[in-house]
Amino acid sequence: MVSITKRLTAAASVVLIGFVGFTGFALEQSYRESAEVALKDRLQGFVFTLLAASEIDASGLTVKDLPEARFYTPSSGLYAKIFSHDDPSHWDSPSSLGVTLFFPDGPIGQYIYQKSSNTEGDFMAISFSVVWEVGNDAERQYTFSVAENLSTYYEQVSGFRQHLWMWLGGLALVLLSIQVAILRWGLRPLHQVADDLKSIQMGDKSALEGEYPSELSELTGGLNDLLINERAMQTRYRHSLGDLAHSLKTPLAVLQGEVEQCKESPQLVDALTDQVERMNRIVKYQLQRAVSSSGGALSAALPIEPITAKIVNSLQKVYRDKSIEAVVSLDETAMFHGEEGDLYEIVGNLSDNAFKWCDHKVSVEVVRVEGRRGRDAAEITIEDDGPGVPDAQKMQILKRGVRADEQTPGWGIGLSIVMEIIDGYGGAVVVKDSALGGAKFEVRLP
Amino acid sequence: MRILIIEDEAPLLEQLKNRFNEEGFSVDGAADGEEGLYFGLEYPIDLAVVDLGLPKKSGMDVIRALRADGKDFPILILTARDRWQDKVEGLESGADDYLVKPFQFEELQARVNALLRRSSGWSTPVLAFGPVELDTVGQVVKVDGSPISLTSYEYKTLEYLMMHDQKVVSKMELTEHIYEQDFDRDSNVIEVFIGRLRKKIDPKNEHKPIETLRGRGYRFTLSRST
Repeated sequence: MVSITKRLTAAASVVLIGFVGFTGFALEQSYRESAEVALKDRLQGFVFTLLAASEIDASGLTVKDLPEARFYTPSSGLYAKIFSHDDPSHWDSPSSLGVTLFFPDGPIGQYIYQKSSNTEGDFMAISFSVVWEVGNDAERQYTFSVAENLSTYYEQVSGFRQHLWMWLGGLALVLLSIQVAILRWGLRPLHQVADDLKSIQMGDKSALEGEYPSELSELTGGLNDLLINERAMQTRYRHSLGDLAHSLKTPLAVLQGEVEQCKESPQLVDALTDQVERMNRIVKYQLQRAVSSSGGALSAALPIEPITAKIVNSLQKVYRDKSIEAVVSLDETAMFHGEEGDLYEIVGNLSDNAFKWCDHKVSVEVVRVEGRRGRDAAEITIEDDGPGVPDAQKMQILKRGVRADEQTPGWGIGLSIVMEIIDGYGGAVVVKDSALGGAKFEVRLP
Repeated sequence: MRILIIEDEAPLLEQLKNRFNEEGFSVDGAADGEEGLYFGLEYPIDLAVVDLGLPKKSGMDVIRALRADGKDFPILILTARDRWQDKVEGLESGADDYLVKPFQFEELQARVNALLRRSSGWSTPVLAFGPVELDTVGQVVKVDGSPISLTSYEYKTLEYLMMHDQKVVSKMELTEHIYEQDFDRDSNVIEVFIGRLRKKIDPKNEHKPIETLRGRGYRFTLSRST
């Protein structure tokens, strides 16, 4: 999707360019027309000057003392000619020496304009035919023509055009940048919302708390409601799933107890015990999946250190008989971006395994690391000095999605739950051999 | 040993009471948190098994109240809540162990025994006093390496005395911790058990493991082997 800023900028640019183009075109056109009118007026003026300077008598027409010096300067660009039907070159201005020009002929009393060009350039010629009475009843028809080189006119027009487009272009640029500035300013609340959402994701905020313009406040209000609903829903899910677990497991416990007391058929006892155990694992695994898969995207950042410390303390209590030496190194700045319960499951299950399998030494380490897109990530390393995991099983025990009751025996359901959770958050786990001699689980949480 | 079981599921409570009775425990059962707390505060309990989701008062509150009152007997949480958050919270509120339902009774029994042993300062399942050894897991007593045969009450009496070695245990205390509430508390019965015990674990009368303090009670006098 093209961004709103780009869309608006593109649309505004097209409109602006169209507007400026049309304006420029119209202005240029009308300037050209008025310059041409001015040129024609000037040419008419020259015709009148020519007429005024002409004297006619019986011998013919003579031209004396033209007030315009350019008529006398060769190649000045301004030329005049007087001619008649029987005398095609009655008089030529001195300037037109050696210049070949076309002068139109036309009906009496009308201005005839004609554009032409020769080696010198383009010309505009005007012709005006008059009939003069010479003596008694004798009439002579003369055509007075003036031609002017169009280079001045062209210069004028192109000069105007240059100025025009320069100004219009500048104006367009200024308008565009104002437009972009307005867009930025106008869209800033949207960016604000995006930033706020990001900090909710990062866990720095729990709701969109800023002041938003009225157009957005409905949206942000809706989003806030959604967030609250989602959290409430999660809590409700967890509670009802917990209730379900409780109400399923207690009858299972009763059943298990009854089965154990049944002495008649050991085969039946074994089968029932297996099935009860299996049901229990399925309930536990599926409940965990249901609860943890909904967490993630919009939860607050959680310090890992206190929860890990609590778990290790609790395990020390449970495994007091083993007198385990636990080396704990916890980075207080390491954060988990997710549900508290999920963090408990990950650290709890892995630490419990370590305490269970160790000889007398366990190491738990939590560090903050650089994650994707500059976000903080955390690494949790849990080691023990127990028998370790055989190489052949290292991949096997971390397989995700294996049905709970098909997991590698001996590792219990805890590990597949841990895998499921970590996978849900896009994290990773590897199993290695610990320097302590046992297993080493390295968990990376985004 | 006298244990308190607080469990609101009647069939499970019944089952547990029967099984622990069979294993030689004296059991008090409570079906809700308030009753459980009352028993815990008023009876001479050696260990409590507490469910978390209880009517009237939650298991967690019961544990906190017991600890706040200074009761230091071991507490085992027996619950269907298997999330680590609950486990940690439970252990932090003062419980000593945690077992998730459904469970195998052997597992529960092993943990109860371990907790009892631990609370009397033993870190191994065998309580060894020189020639006399008591295996809390197998419930076997050996003298000079050979097992001797004891009745359930004799075993319970010896176990209690050994777990409270070097301390004076009154007849009253023995009856309270070993026998059901409605047991006939005739002090002669205790004297009979002690007499038989002495004959069985010290037939030649050379170690004199159980001392009688007239009017006060009995004391297990052998010292622990390390």
